[in-house]
Amino acid sequence: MNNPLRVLIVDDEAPARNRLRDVLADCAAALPVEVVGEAANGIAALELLQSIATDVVLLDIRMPGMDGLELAQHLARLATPPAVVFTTAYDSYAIQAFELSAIDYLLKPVRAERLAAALRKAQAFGPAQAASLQQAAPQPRQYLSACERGRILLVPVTEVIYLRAEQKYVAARTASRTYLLDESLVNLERELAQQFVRVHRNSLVARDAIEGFVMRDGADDSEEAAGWVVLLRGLDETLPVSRRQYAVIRQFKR
Amino acid sequence: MADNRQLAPVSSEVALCKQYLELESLRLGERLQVAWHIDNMPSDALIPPLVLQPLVENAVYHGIEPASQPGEIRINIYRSDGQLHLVISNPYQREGRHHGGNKMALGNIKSRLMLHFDVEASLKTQVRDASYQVHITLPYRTSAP
Repeated sequence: MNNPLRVLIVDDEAPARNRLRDVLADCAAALPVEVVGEAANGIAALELLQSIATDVVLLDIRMPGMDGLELAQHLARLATPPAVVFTTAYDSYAIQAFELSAIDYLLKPVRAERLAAALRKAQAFGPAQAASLQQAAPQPRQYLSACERGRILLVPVTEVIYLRAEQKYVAARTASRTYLLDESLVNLERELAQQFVRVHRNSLVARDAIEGFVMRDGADDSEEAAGWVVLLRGLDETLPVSRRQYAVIRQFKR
Repeated sequence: MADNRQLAPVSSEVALCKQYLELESLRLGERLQVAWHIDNMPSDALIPPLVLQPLVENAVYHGIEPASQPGEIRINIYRSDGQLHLVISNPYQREGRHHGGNKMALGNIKSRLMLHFDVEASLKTQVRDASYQVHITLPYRTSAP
């Protein structure tokens, strides 16, 4: 391990990024580091991380747009995810969540000794687990991430019309296309309960995308049995509603 | 620290807010845009101290910090019909990723206004056209009663 540790700094505030650069320079004697880049938000950071080899990300938790906890969840899907060290100003909610899920964090203002210790630890332990990150996140993600040809694509949750389990994957359908997610429908249902409702054993539909329900007789459609289907805003497809979810229909009728 | 029970010239409260906003723009850079509309402000008017600054701080916290795009805080102070108006507005972030707050600052300011001016002062908040606005009206005074 003679190569310097490659570090990416992610913080929405320029003075905070500069300070971390300074503190990293102070660490250099104890631990050789190289700052490979800086990003001011989660989306820019994800772009950078897919083109620059990085060992550790110093990640601010509170950022506008995509916050640090959400970015870390998407990072966990990279083929070789970097380790993450969170930085945060004092925030009792975040700290409680972190203690509960055993995620390491640095309290701002960040000191050189603490930073060096956290970097060494991150280097030794590797990336945090997506599950514990999700547990610590105070709110649902704003994006789902799909991995295609080694790249991570972000799909805004608000654009997803339905989520359907298909063998090993969950298909996320937007108005323009389908993305395959490497997640379980049960977890997605739990996380996104505010926005999605289960209509069938294998599918969740965005509440906003439900245009209505119609009863279809199975006669002219040999593949699907007779029963209620849900009409979707912006899509010609329909999805079957399973008998045990019929209560959902009543909930949406006025 | 100035005596909380004494009124302060609005011009010095504005100066305090400007200092505070300068600090915040070091941190937030171009994300924080400020528009002062105080050409018609009577600088001799007296207001309770530390009423303006917490409202401006709220505007930064709720209107600018959670937004990924730059946003503008507008501060408008003018006199009309023997009344002094303080109007602070900021972009309204509907799905704030911040803690909602407990309206403590607003509650405190309201009670301090009442303490000084009773029913002659008012504090109203409204959301309109994606903008959150706090509007304070109080009697125009230039010396202690």
